[in-house]
Amino acid sequence: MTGTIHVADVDGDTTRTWDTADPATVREIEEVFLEAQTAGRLVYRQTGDGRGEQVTLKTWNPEKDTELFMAPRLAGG
Amino acid sequence: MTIAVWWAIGMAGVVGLACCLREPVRRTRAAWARRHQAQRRAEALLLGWLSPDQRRQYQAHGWFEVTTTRGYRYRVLRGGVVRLDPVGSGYCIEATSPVPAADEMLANKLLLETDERRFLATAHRYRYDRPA
Repeated sequence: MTGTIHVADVDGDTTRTWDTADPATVREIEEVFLEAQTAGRLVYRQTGDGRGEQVTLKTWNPEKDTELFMAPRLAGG
Repeated sequence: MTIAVWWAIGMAGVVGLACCLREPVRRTRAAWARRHQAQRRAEALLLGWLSPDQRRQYQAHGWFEVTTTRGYRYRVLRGGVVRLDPVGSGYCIEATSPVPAADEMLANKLLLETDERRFLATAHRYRYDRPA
């Protein structure tokens, strides 16, 4: 199973992909989760009804959660 | 000096100025193109995460509405969020890093839908009586 995470950035987003048949790519995404956690950014998985759910490294299932978005950190303006 | 000399001096000035401005203009155009491409990319991503109703609203008006789990209705606009039901509050909330507006709108949507309490704790609230 392959999946994609869109990391929001100045260019719109940077896309990283993984393939569960290749554990190295999954580990790379786990690193992305850790970076998000450190930076205070939230990661969401896409649900089928136009909504999202927060997902963390602990709750992420690379087989099922194949479309992810790492949101920018938000602050009061 | 004759008119021809003045004309030659003027032309030399114009040519020199054009040479000086060529690089800044090129850089500005490249930056604009990059920003435009980023906006388009972010917008495509946003559309992929919106519900059909939200997508219609965004394509027609440039904003979309979100109903939270406790039944409050918000309108997510470029640069902010207003609460429509119950009416009376606007929220200023923005990304701490430079991202296109569509990325910010998607982040606001997802935070409202999944953790309204955190959204309210993060955003600066102001009084807002009229619908957007």
